[in-house]
Amino acid sequence: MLQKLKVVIFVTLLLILVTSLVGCATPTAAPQAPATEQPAASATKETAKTEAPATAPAKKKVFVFGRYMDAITPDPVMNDANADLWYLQQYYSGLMRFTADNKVEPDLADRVEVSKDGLTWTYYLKPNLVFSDGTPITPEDWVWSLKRAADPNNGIWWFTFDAMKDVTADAEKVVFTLKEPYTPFEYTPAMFNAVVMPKAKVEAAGGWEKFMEKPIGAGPFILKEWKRGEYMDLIKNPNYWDAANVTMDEIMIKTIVDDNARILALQAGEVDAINYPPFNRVADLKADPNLQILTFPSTYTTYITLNNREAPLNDVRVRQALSYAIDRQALIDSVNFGVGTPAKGFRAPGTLYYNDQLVGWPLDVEKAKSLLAEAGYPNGFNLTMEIVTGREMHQQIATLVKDMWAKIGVNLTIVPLESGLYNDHYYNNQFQVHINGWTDDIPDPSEGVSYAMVYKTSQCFHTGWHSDEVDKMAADALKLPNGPEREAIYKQLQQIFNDNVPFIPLYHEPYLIIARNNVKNFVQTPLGSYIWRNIEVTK
Amino acid sequence: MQRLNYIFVRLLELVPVALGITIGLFFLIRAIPGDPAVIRLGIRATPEAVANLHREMGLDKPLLVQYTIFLKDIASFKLGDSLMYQKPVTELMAERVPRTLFLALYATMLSLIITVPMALWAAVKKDKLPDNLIRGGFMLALGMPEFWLGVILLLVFSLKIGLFPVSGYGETFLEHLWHLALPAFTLALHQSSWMVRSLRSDIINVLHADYVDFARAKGLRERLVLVRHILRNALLPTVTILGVNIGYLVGGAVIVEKVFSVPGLGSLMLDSIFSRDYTVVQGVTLYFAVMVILINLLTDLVYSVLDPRVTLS
Repeated sequence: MLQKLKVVIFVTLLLILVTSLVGCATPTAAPQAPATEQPAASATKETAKTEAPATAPAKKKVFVFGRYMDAITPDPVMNDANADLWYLQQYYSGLMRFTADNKVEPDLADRVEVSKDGLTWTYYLKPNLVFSDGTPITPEDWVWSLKRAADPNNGIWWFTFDAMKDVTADAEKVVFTLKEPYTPFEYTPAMFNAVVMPKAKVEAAGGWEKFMEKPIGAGPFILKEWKRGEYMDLIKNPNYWDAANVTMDEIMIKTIVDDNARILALQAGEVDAINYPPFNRVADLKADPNLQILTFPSTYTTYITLNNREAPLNDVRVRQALSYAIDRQALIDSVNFGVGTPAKGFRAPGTLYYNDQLVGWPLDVEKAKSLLAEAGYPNGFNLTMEIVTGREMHQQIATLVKDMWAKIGVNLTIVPLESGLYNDHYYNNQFQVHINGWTDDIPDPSEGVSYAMVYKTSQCFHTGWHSDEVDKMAADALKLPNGPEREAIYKQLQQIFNDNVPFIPLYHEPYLIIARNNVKNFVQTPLGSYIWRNIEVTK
Repeated sequence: MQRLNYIFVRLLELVPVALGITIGLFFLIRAIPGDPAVIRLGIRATPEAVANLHREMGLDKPLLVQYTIFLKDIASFKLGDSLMYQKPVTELMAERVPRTLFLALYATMLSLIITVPMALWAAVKKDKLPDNLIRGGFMLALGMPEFWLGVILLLVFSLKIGLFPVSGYGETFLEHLWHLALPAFTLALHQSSWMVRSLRSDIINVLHADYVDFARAKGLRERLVLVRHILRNALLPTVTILGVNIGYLVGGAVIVEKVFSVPGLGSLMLDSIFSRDYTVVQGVTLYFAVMVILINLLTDLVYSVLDPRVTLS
């Protein structure tokens, strides 16, 4: 009897555990119940299956994208990661938008007028604009949204509005007045942070953080649901001004962190396209008849950061020698499996005012050796390069560069650091050699030049290099209208950079997307943003 | 009554232990070099931007003030807002805890289903072909890293046969079972590898004990002897292993979570450590501590049920 009782207790305990766990599991499922009417959340296959027997007048057009990391915040102003800003303009819209070739075209605006002195920019609006929930976009919404984006207390993108004195709006237009002429302002209203938001709705939601749980914008899609770590579900915005030309009914963005799993999901047809495939898989994915490799020009540049503050790296001849000793093509071949182009300067080819006359630093070990000897280091010296633990690309570059620099007598010690510590050392200038990368956020060269060459922005990528002449040239170029004079300054700045080599540009690489063969019109702009308005998936 | 008292005392012990852990952690995680704002901004970290983010994250306040806020949060059963996501830590965890627990339980159930019959068979057929095959097979399974086994299972069952999905968690209970089948099996196989060996040797130890011979002499059927007399006595050490394993699994199996894209607690913890999301690390660690203590308690209780000689004092 006693024994039976004990068995009963044991079984009951197990049952309690089971039910509590199942109980824990249901809350996530429960709120989904109403959503199953629109079977959006699951993969396309399931969606198609569950939908088919229903009335189904027309087959729902769904594009499923597999990305390498989840979003952090859908806030267009406070975000700072590519995982957010490349996706924001699916569900928000502003006055202008970027095209595939980095130009701007009207979005919610109809046309733009710039005063002769370059101080007044007037954007005339399209008629009857509404947010995705159907409420009209008011002048107050415009002013409030743009002022929030321009507030230096908010996030890191306010610099795009740095020259703005004021912004006003009425039913027909939005007018910016500038403190001084600022040529890159052309791009400002097309940026992801310059989108329009419903002021009243944000206030009603009880603040930004709450509103961002289910944001409302005026973009081609609506962020219907964001399940952290799993997916973002976007549905077509029927109220978008250009809804007739938006091809997809739904876009499902799945987060699949693991590279292999992302590729497998693509091969199994669970997703239609993926980003960030590892370079070492590109060759064998090319051989898969169901897949296509899409490359889009980017501004991504990988470089070696040198701390110019101390010897021997404070000597320009040493920095030049280190740059000449690097076989860039070998790096591309080994690290990127041949994808990329050797850098001849710090700006990416194809960007505005790129100086194509630059010769760069072609591999020349003898020249490097003589430069070192000239600088007083005929036998070389020791250097320490810090890299991020577990970041394979860093490991590969460091090992290859160690070998290349050994040929000119430079003995490189590689120190792997946890990423947080690595960033800390970078920010506090406590390093000798680091590996980093950069992408432009605006199509104008001013941003890249500012970070790479203007001391006050970030101490020239924390190299500590400093030139008053360069600082002045960069400031002047901001005010000059686009034209030969401005072009000459930026080209000259690139030459000055190459002469001084504050850091060593290695190579530029394109954005890589692997898609199934039935995907058409996938666009990624050189700034990284995806344009999915016209994408097509033939099933 | 004695058992209830015992449970009460053990639960009471939980409070100082958990509190001690979080307080220690509050200062330890801040002692690690690495600034959350600098990490988040990376190459674009300028002094102004870092200061802005510090203010947004509440890190501009003196440490003591932050600590008081943290204590107040704990007292009101809140764990503060995530520095990265600007969202309550409890909400972030609530999204992930069910997934992790579901996977842990699923894997445990599967491992029991695999372990018990395999161990019994191997013990009964000691040193014969089935025993050698089972021992060899599980040794091999133990040698296969989870990330490798996971990818192989995905290749075979998802890509070639198309039986299971590659990633995700599903919406309904049945969908969870379907989506998590491969990750649960990957974990279960590893757990079973330990448990089969332990259970097998314990069964062999009791297979010819006096009371087993006596039970047979009484004329009990072999199946009853196996279940009631042999298995029950042999299970005790395995229950301990199982308890430790569950304790490990409720913390999230990071590698399996990554391979199968199951966004559970393990990956949240890992990401939060890397991004120095102090509040999330604190919250998740507190949860781990409580769960491990609870599972140990449950293991002790199960132990006492299985073996009446074990007292709970």
